[in-house]
Amino acid sequence: MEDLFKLQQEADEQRIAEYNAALKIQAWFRGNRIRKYMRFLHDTAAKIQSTFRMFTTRKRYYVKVKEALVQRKEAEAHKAAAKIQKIWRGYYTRKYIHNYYARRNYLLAVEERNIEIREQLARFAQNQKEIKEREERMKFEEEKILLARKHHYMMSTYQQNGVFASPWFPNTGFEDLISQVPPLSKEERKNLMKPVKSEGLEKNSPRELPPLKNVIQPKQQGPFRDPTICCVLAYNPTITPVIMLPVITHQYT
Amino acid sequence: MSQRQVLLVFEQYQKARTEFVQTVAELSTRPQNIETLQATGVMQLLRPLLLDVVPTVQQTAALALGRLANYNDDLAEAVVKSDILPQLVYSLAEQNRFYKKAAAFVLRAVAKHSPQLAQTVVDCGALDALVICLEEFDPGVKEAAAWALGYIARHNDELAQAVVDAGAVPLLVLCIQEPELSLKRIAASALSDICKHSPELAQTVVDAGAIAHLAQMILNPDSKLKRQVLSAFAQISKHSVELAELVVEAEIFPAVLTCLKDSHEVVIKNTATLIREIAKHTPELCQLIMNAGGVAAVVDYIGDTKGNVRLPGIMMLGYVAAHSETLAMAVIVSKGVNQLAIILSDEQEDHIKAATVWALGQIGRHTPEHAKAIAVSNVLPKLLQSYISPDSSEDLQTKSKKALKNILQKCVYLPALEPLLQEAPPNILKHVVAQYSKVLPNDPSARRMFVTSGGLKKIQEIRAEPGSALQEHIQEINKCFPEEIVRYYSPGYSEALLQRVEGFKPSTEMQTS
Repeated sequence: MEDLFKLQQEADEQRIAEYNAALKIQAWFRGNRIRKYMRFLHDTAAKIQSTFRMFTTRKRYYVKVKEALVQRKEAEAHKAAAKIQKIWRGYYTRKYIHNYYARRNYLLAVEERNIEIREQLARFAQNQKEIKEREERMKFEEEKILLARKHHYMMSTYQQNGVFASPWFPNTGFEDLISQVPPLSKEERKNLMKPVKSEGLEKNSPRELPPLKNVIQPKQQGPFRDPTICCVLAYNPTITPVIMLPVITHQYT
Repeated sequence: MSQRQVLLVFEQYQKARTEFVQTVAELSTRPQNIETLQATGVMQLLRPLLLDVVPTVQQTAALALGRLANYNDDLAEAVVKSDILPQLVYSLAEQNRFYKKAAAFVLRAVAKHSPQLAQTVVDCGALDALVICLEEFDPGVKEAAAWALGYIARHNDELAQAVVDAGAVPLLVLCIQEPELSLKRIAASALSDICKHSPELAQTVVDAGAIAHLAQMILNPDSKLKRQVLSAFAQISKHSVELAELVVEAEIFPAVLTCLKDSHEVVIKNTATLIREIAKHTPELCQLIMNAGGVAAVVDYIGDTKGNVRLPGIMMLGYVAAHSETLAMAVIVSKGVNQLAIILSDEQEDHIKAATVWALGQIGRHTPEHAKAIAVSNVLPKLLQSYISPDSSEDLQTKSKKALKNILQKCVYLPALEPLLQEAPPNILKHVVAQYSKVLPNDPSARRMFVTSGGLKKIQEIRAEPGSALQEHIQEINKCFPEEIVRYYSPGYSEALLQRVEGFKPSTEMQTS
């Protein structure tokens, strides 16, 4: 009996074990089959989605490619324009706005011109000075000659040394000058001594009163010299009265 | 016999009148007699003598009146009050040339003192009579009339306009062409007096064709004539660009530059004034002057002369340099900066110094090249001196400050900036420091020079308010140098070192081997 029970127990355990094994196998198989089916479904869905996405994305892609092309072309155009402008601006500025070489040449030309002008002005100034000096010298010479002519009467004679040829004073050459130049003639001396005729309006010689015109003078009684002669003598004593004799009409009562 | 006696009485009276009038005329040449004459009421006595029968008496009486009125304006007023002027004006039309000369002399003597007296002369109708005198043959009469018109026109705008309205200008231009030298001088001076007041008057003179004739006279050797002609040109060209261009078109350059070598200072001064007035207007005119070599001539002239005579020349250089930077560079090339530097050290007068300082500022303010040219000639310390020194006038100080500021903002020549770093007051110092902060970050040799010359030390000693521009510049400079060096030169560092020395405990252990 215990063997039967044991055998039945064993058979029961075996049955249960076989049952579980069969269950596991069936579960596994079913699971596999469903998984495969699920996988199949997922793959199909994925394929559909992927085709659809490829289609839409390609559309959008082409739009983007076109835009990108346009932009690249634009960017190239901008760069080209910038390069042209850069070259042009450089050229224009260098030539017209700030021409370095023209400016340098101008400054060099200014320097040269300055040197020229300075030379010219220096020569001009020198010329003027020389002319002035020459004129002064000539005036001086002329004055000396006039003096020699005036002092003709001081020339030394055979008997008597003149003042300018005194043996006690060094020889200044004035004596020789006197003997060389002609003496003043009578008219020249009169012209020299004649008072300068002015109209008496702007230039005034205060020491000389202008001569009285249109005046009838009675002759003074007594041994008096003529008043006009006295006036002249008072101011210019080197004249001898022989030379200056104005004509005056006297009215006698 | 009685007839003879009657005649004798009249002769004696005539002789007495003649003598009186001639003596009064002679006495009135000496100033010390004039007060006495005035006290004796000589005016009342001379007035009826103007109407005398004998022409000599009339002329000499007019001459005496002229000399009296010439002396001072009280006497001129007395002449006006005694109602002598209408009589003179009336007889200007009638009498012979000696009388006309004397009468014109009286009018001129009265008109020269003040605008009111000149106005009374004009109100008596003198202008028409004088203009008629200008048409006379005798050059002496023309000269006297032109002189009187010149003195009237000198005072103000309305009087000059009145002279022009009387039709004097074409006649004066004719007078300039006459051969007599004194007449030319007076006519040129009268035109110059008319032109100086307003552009319209100058335009009237120019329209009468004066410029061509005046231009011919520039080469005349007589100095007084040249002086008047140059003054006339200067007055014409000062008003507007067109007038200046007209003057320049008369081809006065380069002939007028020879007048800068004349022996008379007034001629030189007037030439310089003329060139200055032309250069003031536009850059093209300056360029014209430059091309004719005018700038070199002016630079030489300011070197040769002294005092007030060189003021127009200095101002002319300033005006030329102010227009554009090429012109300023050309002034530098013509050795202008050296000359101005010499003047700045030689001159004592403040107004000439102020003009020099202003001219230097105009030259140096354009670019760093210009500023370097000015800095190299060692002028910046002198500018600083004139700014700081207490004897400089207000004007000189403001101008020095402006010039320094303008030059410093462009100056990157560091050796010239060093002396300024030592001595400058804060408002100048900030510009100096700003320039250093521009140059030092880029130039290592300059940094070395800066340290060795004691500049870094000075920078540390400057006390600046935080947040001010000066402080920022100082910080920038400090950033260019290593930390230790900056600390080494900062004030009080030696103190800090000594304190460290005091606090240091030397190790007492001796290392034994």
